[in-house]
Order: sequence, then C-alpha cells, then structure tokens
Amino acid sequence: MDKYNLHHNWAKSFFSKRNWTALPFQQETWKAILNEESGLVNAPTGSGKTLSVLPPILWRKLNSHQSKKSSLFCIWITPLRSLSKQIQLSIQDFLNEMCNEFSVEVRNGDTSLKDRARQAKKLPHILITTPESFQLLICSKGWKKKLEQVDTVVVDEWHELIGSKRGVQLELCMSALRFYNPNLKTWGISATIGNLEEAKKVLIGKNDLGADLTGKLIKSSIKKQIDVKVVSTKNIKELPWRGHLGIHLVEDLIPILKRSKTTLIFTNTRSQCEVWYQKILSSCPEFSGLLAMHHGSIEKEIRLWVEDAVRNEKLKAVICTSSLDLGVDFYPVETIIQIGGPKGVARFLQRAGRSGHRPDQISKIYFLPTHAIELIEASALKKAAKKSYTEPRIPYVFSFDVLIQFLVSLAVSDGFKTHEALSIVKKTHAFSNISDYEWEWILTYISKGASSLSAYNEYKKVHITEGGLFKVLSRGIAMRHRVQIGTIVSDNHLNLKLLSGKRLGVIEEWFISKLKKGDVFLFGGQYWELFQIQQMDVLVKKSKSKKGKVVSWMGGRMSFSSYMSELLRDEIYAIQRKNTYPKTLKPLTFLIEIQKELSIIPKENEFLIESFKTSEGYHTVFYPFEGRFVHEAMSHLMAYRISLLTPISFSLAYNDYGFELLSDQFLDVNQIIENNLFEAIHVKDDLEQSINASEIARRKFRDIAVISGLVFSGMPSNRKRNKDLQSGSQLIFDVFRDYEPDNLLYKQAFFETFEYQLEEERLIKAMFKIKNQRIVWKNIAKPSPFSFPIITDRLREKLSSEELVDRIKKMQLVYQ
Amino acid sequence: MNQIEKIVEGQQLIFDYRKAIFWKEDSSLILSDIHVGKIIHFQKNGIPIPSTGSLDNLMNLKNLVAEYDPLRVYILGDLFHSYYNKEWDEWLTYIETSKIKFTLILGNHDPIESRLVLKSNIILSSDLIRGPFLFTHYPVKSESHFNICGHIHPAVRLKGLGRQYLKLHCFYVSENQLILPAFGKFTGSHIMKPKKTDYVICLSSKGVFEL
Repeated sequence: MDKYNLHHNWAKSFFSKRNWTALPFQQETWKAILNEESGLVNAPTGSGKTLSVLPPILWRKLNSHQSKKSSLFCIWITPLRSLSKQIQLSIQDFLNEMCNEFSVEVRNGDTSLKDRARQAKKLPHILITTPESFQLLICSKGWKKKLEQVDTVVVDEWHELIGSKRGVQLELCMSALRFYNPNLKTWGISATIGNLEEAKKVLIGKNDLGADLTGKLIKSSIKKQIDVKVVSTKNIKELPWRGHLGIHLVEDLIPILKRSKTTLIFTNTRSQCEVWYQKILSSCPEFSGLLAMHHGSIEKEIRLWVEDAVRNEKLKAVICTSSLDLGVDFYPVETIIQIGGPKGVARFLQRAGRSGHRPDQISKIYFLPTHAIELIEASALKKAAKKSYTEPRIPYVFSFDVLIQFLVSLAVSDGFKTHEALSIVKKTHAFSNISDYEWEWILTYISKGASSLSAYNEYKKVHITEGGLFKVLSRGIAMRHRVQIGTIVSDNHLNLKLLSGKRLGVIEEWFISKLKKGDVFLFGGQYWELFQIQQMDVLVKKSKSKKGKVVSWMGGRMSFSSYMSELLRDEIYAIQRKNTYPKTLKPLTFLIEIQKELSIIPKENEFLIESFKTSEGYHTVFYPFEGRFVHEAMSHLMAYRISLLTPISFSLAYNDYGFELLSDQFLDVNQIIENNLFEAIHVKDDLEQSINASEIARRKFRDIAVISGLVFSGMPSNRKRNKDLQSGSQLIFDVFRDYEPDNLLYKQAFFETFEYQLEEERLIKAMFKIKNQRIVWKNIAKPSPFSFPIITDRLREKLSSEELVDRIKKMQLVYQ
Repeated sequence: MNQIEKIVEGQQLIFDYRKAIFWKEDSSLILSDIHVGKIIHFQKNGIPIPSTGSLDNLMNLKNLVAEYDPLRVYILGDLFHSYYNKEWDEWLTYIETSKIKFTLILGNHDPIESRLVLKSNIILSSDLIRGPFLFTHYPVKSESHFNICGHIHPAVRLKGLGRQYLKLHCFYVSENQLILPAFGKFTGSHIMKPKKTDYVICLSSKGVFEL
C-alpha cells in the first residue's frame, strides 16, 4: 500500500461511520497535502471543506517524530469570530474519534482572560483564530519559539478576506511565519469568486526572487442548485417607490416561515433587522420564543446562543445581517429569505447556500423586494443564479497603514532587523513592488517620525539599538499598539448596559447623541429607555412602550458589481421591447406607465437625464445604470466639470441606477452637451481634481489613521487616561494636507479612493458608452419613479466652485 | 473682512479673524485654548504628526501684538497641552521677555506643571473680573457680570438651499456670555445649536462673518 492509501483508509473510516463518502475534491486535497504542497480549495459551503484539509494535516503529525507532537502545529484562520466555534466543534469531533492526543482551542477577541493566560503558557495543537489575534501572537515576546513547530496555516473563507485590508494583514503575518519556517504550508478554503487563481497566489506568497510560490488550485465539481423565488405582494401598488424596510410585506412572509423548518432572513442593515423582528412578532405572536435576531452589535453571548439554538432546531427563524453570511454550518436551515437587494451576485448565491446544507440538496432562496424598482433587480438575480457567474474580489496592495502596524508589531515583540523585515514584506503580494524610497520612508516614519518633524524632535516610537535592531522600548507605546491592533474601524462605539451592569451590546455614539434622557429606542428586539450616559457606557432600562426610535448604523454601503449592472441594464432595455418584456416585471407595469408618462424608459441607445425642482432646490438626475461606485465617480467628475463653467455648489447622491446633482441654481443640461462634458479624455486628471475638491479621500483617511496608529481611541479599561492623546483623523488629514502632502499615509487615502472606490476603468468604459448614446433630457414637473430612491438618499457628497464668502451669504444658521 | 467691531456691555470689542478679541478700552488682547505643545506631546508618544503647524500659533500672537499694541494679554485657559516639552520654551521666553502683562486663567489642560514653569510676568488665576466682564475658562452663569470664556471650541453649522452645509469655527455670543474659538491650530471643535436670540461671528480662511 502506498502512503496515500494508508491515510485515505484511515480518514475514510471516519466518513463511513457516518454513511458519507469522501468526495473527489476531498481526496485530491488529501493527496496534495500529503505531498507537502500548498494550495487553495474551492468548494461551496456545506460540502465538507473542513474535512478536505484536516485529516492529512493530522496524519502527517501522527507519523512524525514524537518530540514534535507537543506544541502548536496548525493555525486555523477564520474571518469571523462566530465561525470559530463551529469549526472547533467539527475538528473536535474528528479528534475525539481519530486521534485524541491532539487538542484544539479558539483564541480571538471573545476569549476570556483566564483562557488567554493559560494559552500564553501552553498553546493547543490546533489554534483557531482571526487575523487580528494572529497578529497579536506575533506581538508577544518569544513568538518565534512558540510558533516554530507550526507547519500548516489554514485560512477558511479566504474569499471574505482577500478583498480587504485584513487580507493584507494576514499576508504579512503568514510571510513572517514562512520566513522563519520555510517549510510552512498554506491552505486556503474559498467559495467561488471570479479570480480564484489570483486568490491562490496571494495566499501562498512569493519566493526570494519575487516569483509566485507554487500551489494547487482544487475545485470541487459540486454545483449547488439554487432555486430563486421572488415574493411578490398581492397588491403591487402598495409597494413604495423607495424605502428599504419593506415591512408592508410581512404578511406575505409568514406563510413561508410556517412552511419551513428553520428560516434565515437576511436584511441589509442592522436597523432593518430590528424592525423586521418586531413586525413578525406582532403579526404572528405564536412565534414568540421561536424567533431570534443576530447582528454585529448584539452581545456575543446572545449571538452564540442564537447560533446554538439554530443548530439544535430550537428556532423557527433568525433575522440577521451579514453577521451570518459565512460558513457556519446550520444543517436545519431549509429556507433563506433575502429582504431588499443583495447588491452582488456572489453575496446572493452565498446566502442562498446557507440552506440545503448537504451537497445534494437544493438551496432555496426567496427574494423580497422592498421597493418597486427592486423588482428589476430581482429579475436580474434570477438570471444570475442560473448562469452561476461570480465577481472577482480584488486584493489590496500598498496598504502602508497595515504595513506600519505590522512592523511595529514585530518591534513590540522581539524587534526586527531591516533586511529580514524587508524580505518578509517583499514576499507578499501586497508589497512585492514596494520601492526603496517607500521602504526607507516607512522605516524613518516609525523610528524618527514624519519628515517634517525636525523642529523639536522628541518623537518616540520604535527605537534603533546599536546592533541595528528596531525595537519598541516604551511600555506605554507597546500597550497602546496592542490595544489598537485590528480595531475594526467604525464610528465611536459606546457600550449599551442595563442599570445592573449587564452588557447588551454596542451602539454608535452619533445615534445616542441625538437622544435625551427618557427617550425610548429599539435594540435587540426590545424597547429601552435611556437613563444616563457615563463616559463610554450608555445605561438603559427596559421600557413598556411599544414605540421608539430605531437604532441606525452608518455602516458601509455596497455597490452593484459590473456584472450585476449589466444584468440590470438588460432588464430595463427589455422593457422597451414588447416581445421580451420580462414576466417577473409584470407587477411593475403601473410604475413603468408613470415613468413613461412623466419621462421615458431609456432604450439601449439612449441616455436619460431628468431635471425638476422641489422645495430642496434644482435636481438633475442622470441614469447610466452602472452601479453605485461608478456613479459615485461619475457624479464627482460631472460636478467638477460643470463647476469649471460657472461658480456653483452641488450636493451629490447616487445609487445603483443613477446619480443626482442637486443645487440651488438651475442646471442647463444643454450646456453639458455643448461643452462635451461626457468626454472620456482627461478622466483621471479631472477625477483627481474633483476628489481634491470633495471629501471622499478625507473619509478614507479615517481607517488609515486608525490602522497606522495616528488616531488612538483609548484603552478599553481606562479611556479617560489617554484623553490628551486623542484627536480626530480629520484634523490630522488637514495638517498633512497643509504641511506634509507627500506623507505616504496621506497619499494612500487618494490611492485607495481611486483604486478601490471609484473604479476608474469602469468609469471610462461607461463614459465611452454614453458618448455613443443619444442624450435625452427631460424637464419634468415632479420627481419620476426612477429618481425617487436617489433624491431621497441622505448620505451625500458635496462639491463647490463658489467662493466661500458667496456661499455663506446664501446660508442660514442651523438652529436648535 | 478681517475684523468686526461690536459694542458689548458698553465696551468696544474687535473680533479678529485670527481667533482673538481686542478690547479697546482696556487695551487688552483676549484669546483662549492655545494648546501649546500638543503636537510634540503626540510625537513623544509615538504619533507622528508634523509639527510645522503649531509654530504658526506664536507667530499669530506676535502679529496680533504688533498690530494692536496691547498693554495686556488674557489667556482664558489651556495655554499648554499636557506635560512640559520643548515647544513650551519659545512661549515661556516670549512671555518672560515681553513688555506686555500676561494673565492666564487656568484651564483643564493646564496641569500643575504649568504653574511651575510660568514664573515671571504672568498672573495665574482661576478667574478674573475686569470692568463688566468675568473671565473664566469654563462657561459660567453670572448674575453680576458678562462672562467671557473658552474651553468649548465652538463651531456652527450653516444650511442652504440644495442641501448645502458648512461647518465654521466661531465666536459664540449668547445672552450673558461670549465663548471664544480655540486660538491654537490642531484643535477640534464642538458644534453649537444656537437659539434665535444668540449670535455668532464665524471664522474662515477668508475672514470673519457676522450671522
């Protein structure tokens, strides 16, 4: 028998006891791991991904020298804390039966101090952790010794990390581990994304010469069958033109819940989640006790309880946000409901995959449009599910904020030599092209401060010892750095607590600041009365009231991918062609009639612009149907170009269908046409100018300032003590702009705006398309159905070419 | 406009765009919340913010002094930020060698240390009554005097047609009180919600505006 058979028979004994068969992709992965390869496994959720990598990792260890069996040998990374427990359970299950000499434990932000202390003395054999906690390990003294026996890093749900800075953080940490242990193997597990080959390369890193390390990409042949159903209300005319809560449809939802054993209901925002929970309960009181809520602001014990309850079939339905997006294996879940547009095909399919959790089961997902126009989106999603196309996730590069955080981490633990650190950094995808200038700048930055610090240089962070070791000597700096790692960047959060001190969750400061003592609000499915705010704690008591404000969160918004936009455009153009009128859009007919009456439905060769006046001012709405990000860019570009013609101030709004320029002056669209403002040349320059004139980059800078340690949010235990070190990122942004515009972190804000937010390439393509279209300008008396969701959007940008003095003259104080 | 002149409690006050007030009758310059040494304090603690910005603070004061030629300067608290660092020295030298009489109303950011270093040519006090005015760091309610204070770093929001908004630092004047903007660069601000009876003098790079 060859070496594979011995292992395979061993591993299969676990499968056969459960009447499972080892799938071809699992066996292929086993073989690759036994062959000492690295790679990426692509398999849908619920297809046994964990068991595709776990057995051979253990087998190798079982058959290795005894002395190597005593310490940590496998780090298992998960993007979400909520996944850790499930993975731990399934690994433990395997260990109990097959090799109980090995231990598995979780270490993340939820781990208790007691467990941490124990782990500091002795780590388990397999450690399940998050990228942030992984980096914290590297921050601890003697980390190289502790991790020297690690031979495999497994990254679960890699597709969730690759398109984020956490992906970069992980690349750096893995590269450091690889530097000290060149035999380290890396295995990723990923759902289907458009750039799997690239995802694999980013994961396993580069060699000394800058070439990609070799690795296997193993794809499962499992095709998940997905059944998409659109829930349409009996009386379509009741669908509002905009509004994203959709609660008027609650009655249509109840029968679906009743039919299915367990249902997950996905909403796009946490506030929507709260409202739906209330509405379902009040319309169906017998669900009381069988209904739960799960979102990121709810206290972890409650979240864990909900997850357990789903597994134990104790719940009828859970209303959740993206907090339950990932691979928690919920076998009892039969049905998924998506409320409101999911924005991307990949996300939609991923959510659909949460049901029918066996490889052979069909996933069922119901889509519930919350406003009329979303019916078009629903129709497009149905098509997408059939074609099984998914978008790529673009890895971040040149994230200097993350690099600074990483280097300071090395300096906090054992210190680093520059040539070693450079070698680690260059072997990552994110920094393989870092220039000498940039590297030197970063080193100077962490050791001597910024270039213009000359006046009174008392800067202290990383000290360079005589032997050339970069090391943090100050305990205060080390402590602040550890606290800061992995701060998930969001608004200032306050703890929500009962008077008794029990923690309920977190709440954003800006929401609470609008409330007075005695005000009632909805959180975690309960009404609470605000009692007092004490520093970082919001004290509340239960309220008997049945009405209150809904907590809202400012969380990021998603954009249609280019593929989704394409599907959407197809649907809209199809409306015009009688014979192809999509059946799913039938309910929309009345709205389409109003749109036609007031304005037009654009054909493929037409570009629609609508102008109208309301009490807010003069609205001009453009409809490229290219997705939110392209519209964001195009609105800036157009606002900037128009502002060159005449002094004018704009408020900009955009959604996935189009964008609006709102002003206090009438905008003559003929001027735009005559001056060729849709020209696709000089796009980059103009866009750059417009970004300088607006505030997008300034907002991007917030994350950068936090990650790189420019903004310190305070110690969790004693926030007050560091108050004299707190400042706003906005203030720092201004200082950099005025005094140090070549600061790499300042420049990064602009780079990121261009690369990851505005999608310049897609913008230029879209501009070319418009050039070949006929512009149809409609001056209308009132807002059209198409314009409604855009003009009512409150998250806006601004751009102005007017003199400040002139603007102030036209304005009024905002009074109490 | 670079200055706006107002009669407050029968006294002539000149509101200057450099975030200070000149009180004519008293020949005094009034300013607040300079936060000298803030940037260096950040740097010392490993937060690299360029220090060039803070150097303008002293330059601004020197220019104001040259222009108004005051006999006195009242600083309404938070002259220094946190603990001593080298940036303080220039200010200490300037104060000690100046012909002008300085008064510092102690604020929350003026720790005991500032009492130790501020030795000559400066009066330290928790408040000061002069003429119709009561100078403090924190806003206070007074029956007998008009309160002039700092601490808040006031700003206001302006609104216009077409969803236009602006946020501007300001001098904030309510019934019996005047709050000064922070004189120092690299200081934040707090948005005020004015009553109809309040009035504000806004500051921008282009000067001062009355609203």
